[in-house]
Amino acid sequence: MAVKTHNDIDVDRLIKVFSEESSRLGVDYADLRIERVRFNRIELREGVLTTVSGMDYGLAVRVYHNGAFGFAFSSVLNVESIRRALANAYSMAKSARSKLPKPFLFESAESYYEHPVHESIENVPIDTKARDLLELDKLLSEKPFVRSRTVYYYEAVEERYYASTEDRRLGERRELVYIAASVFGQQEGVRGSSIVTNGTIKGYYLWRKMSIEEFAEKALQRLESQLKAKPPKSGNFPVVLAPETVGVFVHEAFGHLAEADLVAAGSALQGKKGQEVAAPIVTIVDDPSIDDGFGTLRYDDEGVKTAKAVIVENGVHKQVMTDRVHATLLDEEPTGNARAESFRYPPIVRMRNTIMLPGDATFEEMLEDIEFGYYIVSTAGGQTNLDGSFQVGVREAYEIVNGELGAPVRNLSITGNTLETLRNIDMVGKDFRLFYGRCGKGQVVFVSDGGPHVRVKKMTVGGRA
Amino acid sequence: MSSRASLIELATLATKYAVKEGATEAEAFGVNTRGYVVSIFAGQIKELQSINDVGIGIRVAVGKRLGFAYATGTDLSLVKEAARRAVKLAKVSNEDMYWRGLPEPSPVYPEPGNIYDSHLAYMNPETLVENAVALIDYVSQYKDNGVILSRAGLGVHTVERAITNTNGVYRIDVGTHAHVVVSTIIRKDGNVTPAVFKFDSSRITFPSVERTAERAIEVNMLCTRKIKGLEPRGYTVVYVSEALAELLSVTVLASLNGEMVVRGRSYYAGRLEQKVMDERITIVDDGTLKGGDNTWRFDGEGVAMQRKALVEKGVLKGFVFDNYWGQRAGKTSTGNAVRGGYASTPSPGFTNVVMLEGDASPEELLDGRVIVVYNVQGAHTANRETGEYSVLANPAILYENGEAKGWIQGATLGGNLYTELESKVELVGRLVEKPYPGIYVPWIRIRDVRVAQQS
Repeated sequence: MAVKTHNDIDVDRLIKVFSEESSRLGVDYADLRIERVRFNRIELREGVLTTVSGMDYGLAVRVYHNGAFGFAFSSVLNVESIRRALANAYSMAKSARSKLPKPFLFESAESYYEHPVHESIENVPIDTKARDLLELDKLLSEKPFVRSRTVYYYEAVEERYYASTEDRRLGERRELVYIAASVFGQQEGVRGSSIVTNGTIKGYYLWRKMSIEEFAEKALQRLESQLKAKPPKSGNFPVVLAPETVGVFVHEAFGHLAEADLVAAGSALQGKKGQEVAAPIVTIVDDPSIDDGFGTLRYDDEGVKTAKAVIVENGVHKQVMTDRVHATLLDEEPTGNARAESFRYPPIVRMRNTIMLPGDATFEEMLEDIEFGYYIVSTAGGQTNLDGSFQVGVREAYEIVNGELGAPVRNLSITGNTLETLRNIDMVGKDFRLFYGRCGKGQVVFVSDGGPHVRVKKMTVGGRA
Repeated sequence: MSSRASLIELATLATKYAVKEGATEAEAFGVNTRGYVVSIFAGQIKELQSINDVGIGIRVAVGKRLGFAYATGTDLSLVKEAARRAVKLAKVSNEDMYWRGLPEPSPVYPEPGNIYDSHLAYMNPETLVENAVALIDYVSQYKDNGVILSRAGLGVHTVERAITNTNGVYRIDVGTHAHVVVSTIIRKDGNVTPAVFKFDSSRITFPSVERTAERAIEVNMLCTRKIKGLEPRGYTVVYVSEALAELLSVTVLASLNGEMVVRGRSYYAGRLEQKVMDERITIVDDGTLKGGDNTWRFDGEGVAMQRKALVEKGVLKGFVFDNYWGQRAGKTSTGNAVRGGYASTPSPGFTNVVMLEGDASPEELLDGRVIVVYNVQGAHTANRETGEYSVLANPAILYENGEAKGWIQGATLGGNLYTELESKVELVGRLVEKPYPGIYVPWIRIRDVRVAQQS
């Protein structure tokens, strides 16, 4: 394999040992993941800097034998630990007493891909990054209503290698940078906080996507609007969702229901294939090929070539997101959605870049005939249940009065049934934005989500207190 | 590496390397976790995992400049490299004017008991699988009722911890832990109930998988009959331990965290010795709780674990601190330096949080017309600065005089936990449960919580 050579790991040799040992054991299927991740984490609290550096090296072996998977990992990268992990995973598979179908199998393959970067994070000294973050922090500190500031910066160079008994040998290198700045403030007895995030997989490129000044401005403007905001009315109203909220909605409220393991576990999308689950103007995909997405990957952590999962097309539910086992179990296409937080975890079905595709409406058209409603800009995240009910907490929102944006409102949430809400969408905007974040499902992975502005005829808005 | 002595030896070497590289202070925290985990999806065992994770985190100071790095595995050259990186990072960091040094050894360390069991430490993976099969068999009895074991996880772990620092801290500890998490739903006749999640754990024995599943299914069964058209207004609400723990964690516990106090973000800052909750509420953080999920002899910085009252009979008594934030507040560490493992730096957090029992019986809690909230969705979006929350109660069950009338599907709750705990508490249950790891709370009955049902 065209593997980059490292001083500290001989990937080729480790893969060779894995192949020899797994054929000697005579397992039905086995795969090996080798990870070499180097990262820095810089945090600023009121300008005080903390820097953490890590080298996360390890390997994971998974064996399928007689209807069950066994999994073992090691944080030691040598021949002996491959042998031990393989023997261990094999013994786990034999003990697991399950009747899972054989995972979806593929032809042999060989590939190594480096995601292109503008300027590698490895070529930018850490003190340059610290200086940029201190500048951001200084801008955040300049407003009198700001009481407390946290800046979180994370960067990693991820090198992941994969080999399997199908004679697949794959490798991928990408750089990932994530930033989140949060400010807490108080003004005339009102307390509030705001958070702004951004990310890239194109190296040290953050500030070219959004300058330090713009980033600070956005965080401060969000906080200021909260401190001036009034409580909302509770009830059912027409709502316009901004791209950031659409992203959270398609990921949290909808996307999880379309993960094959949760479909099999009885999610609200079970048995809905081919049925209309959204308004005909709605198309939702999980796309691993988007430019500069946190979920942009060539292969997943099961060595499956990633493919776009068209979850909803023109309102009709088409596909679910699968891993190898669920592709077989549910007789679905393999989409390459298996991801693991690190070598410490077996891959499970996860999202990558989950987005709603743009339509043809303008923002002004969406507001035009709304007598009273809400414009929901950004959220504090959300949560869904398998039954299809969701809650999304809102950070920044405004009233819509007689077709115009009105006063800011605070401390509200939107709740409802995901599929009903998708059916109530009556306008989809022509714009589009992508966002960056992390998603937890027992394991944390970096994902992107996004979409255009969207109008929902009726949504339940709840206030707090 | 397998012996305990070698983990502490490795930690000692790490601090020595760091000093040699130019650190004026150094601390090494090593963790070795071994065990097995079974995961179940849709009623089938998906996989059996063997866990073997060891590493060392090294925190250094060069004067008042700080750095942290860690190494996975036990390779001496990697530990040396991590020590070198930690010192290098400290040297390029800016000065932390508040830094007053690493902690000293505590005069006495507790012997809490019930944190290690040799049967758990040596449990073989086959025994864990037997428990998983027992769980699957138990839930399959309810197949005709439409019950599905949507997800479950069973695990058993042995954890060794070692810490050394240049002030003379030199401690080792070992403990075991077993857990079961179960999530069930009912799909029948085109209806889906919410997924209900239940947890149990122990440091010395394997929890009952049947009892855990039974508790989840009991709640699912309450959702098979629906209530419609609930009028939106203030209702008397009973928060079951899961719901209370979720809301407490985001609001009250965030405000009892010393870092939040120092940074001016805590709702309770400046209110020590004042009444902040109903007098029937006492909250302690107890790192020495016998058999507690997070009980150890020392915290993530080598400071002795302690029991401390945070709220006593409604009066605010204290906050949790690690060494750094304690010093910044002009106080000392409360033994609450929490670390995610060897890969993370310490920060103030909770050990075992216990809200002490009240005196209300289950019958009293359910008396009259009340909405019982078994769990909430979106607690993490509550506002920790103000205590306000707007969440989905899922499931919320209407009770009349102790009798369950049905599931209020799509019930949203709006309230403020700070003010509710201060002036709207009607009753505190006499039975304390552990809905999540390390949090022990009773049921609580609160008046006038705004509830609306989606139309």
